[in-house]
Amino acid sequence: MEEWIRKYFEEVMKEVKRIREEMARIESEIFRPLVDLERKSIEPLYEIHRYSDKIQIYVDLPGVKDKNDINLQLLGNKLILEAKLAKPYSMGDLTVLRGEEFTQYRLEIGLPENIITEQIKARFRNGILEITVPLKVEKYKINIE
Amino acid sequence: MIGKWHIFLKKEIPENSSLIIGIPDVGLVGPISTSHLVKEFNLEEIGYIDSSVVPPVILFHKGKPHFPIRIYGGYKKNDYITVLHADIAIPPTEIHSLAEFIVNQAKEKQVEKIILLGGIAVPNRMKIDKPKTFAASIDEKILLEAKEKGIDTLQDGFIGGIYAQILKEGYKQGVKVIALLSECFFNYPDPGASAATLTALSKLIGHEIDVKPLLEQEEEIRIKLRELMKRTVETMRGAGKEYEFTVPALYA
Repeated sequence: MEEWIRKYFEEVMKEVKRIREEMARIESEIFRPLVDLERKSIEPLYEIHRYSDKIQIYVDLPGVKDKNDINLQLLGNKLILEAKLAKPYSMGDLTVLRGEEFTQYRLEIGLPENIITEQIKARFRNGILEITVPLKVEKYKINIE
Repeated sequence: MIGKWHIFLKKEIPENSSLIIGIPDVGLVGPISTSHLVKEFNLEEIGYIDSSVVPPVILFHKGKPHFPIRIYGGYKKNDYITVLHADIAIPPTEIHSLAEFIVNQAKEKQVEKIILLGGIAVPNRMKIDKPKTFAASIDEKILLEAKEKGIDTLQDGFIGGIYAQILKEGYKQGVKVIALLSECFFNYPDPGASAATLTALSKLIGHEIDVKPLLEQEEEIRIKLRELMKRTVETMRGAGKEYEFTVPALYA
């Protein structure tokens, strides 16, 4: 088999695996509340925009005052975000979370293997963290006849 | 399954009242606004709307049970204000039946006008300090009234979701409907946009609404409503919201 075909199939299989994992994650998240009682953390709302050469992630972090209160790390191909809330937060009288106080946000996002780790950038403004993850991609210029 | 809707009222709604609606949609602008309005105007819970297509949930607040789609009412000076507040998003398959039901009821109760409070998601919301509010209506008179009261009108673009259907139903049944939509986040609760919408509502109905408490609680509301926002975004798929970023062929 020619090298480029083998490479192409490898890429396709990787993408299928990623989609399967993403589907499993979405399914498992439907009934999961956005809180982690063990860690005293709440999960923020976020959105991911995928482009051919980068992934753009936006994370809503109300209650976080300063960029120094945000800790963003890459563990393997997982992006881990922890952000300290300016004051502990409780869900009031909501019975299922009565007496619980949350002090931070925590979020884990799986990333593909072709990320350029050293070029990941993040910016915090108006309570929203914007993370740009560049991707290694092979580029070919196609001539138009 | 097409939903059959029921209304239950403990007190009758007087003729010529304004019906103000807040249903979960982008940025949860509608229910954040109506929730604040009910507190500000000290309105009383007078009934509910229910259907077999609504998720089988009941809310408890301070020990008292509440239906997820509730009706509030009360006088503000000489004007009777009716508020329809929903704590659950409407599944796309039920939008048509609920819109028709609401407008039928409004007509039957001789409501003077329906005012829809909501948002219009803009991709650059992060860079906007003071969201703009736009009025949208099929009724020229009410649109002119809004314009004269200093509210910009929506010029170009699609409106999708339940509010679009209520506007259409209003037109079909001859009921005045106007939507007040503020620039907002798509999938983050946006009390700032609600404050802008309520400011426009205040101009339209001529009653002052203090939005300061809403802005003071902005962060708390954004944290508390994360779960509702998540459920709303899941429910909104296929509700026509995807059209809002689309340039209509009319303008091509």
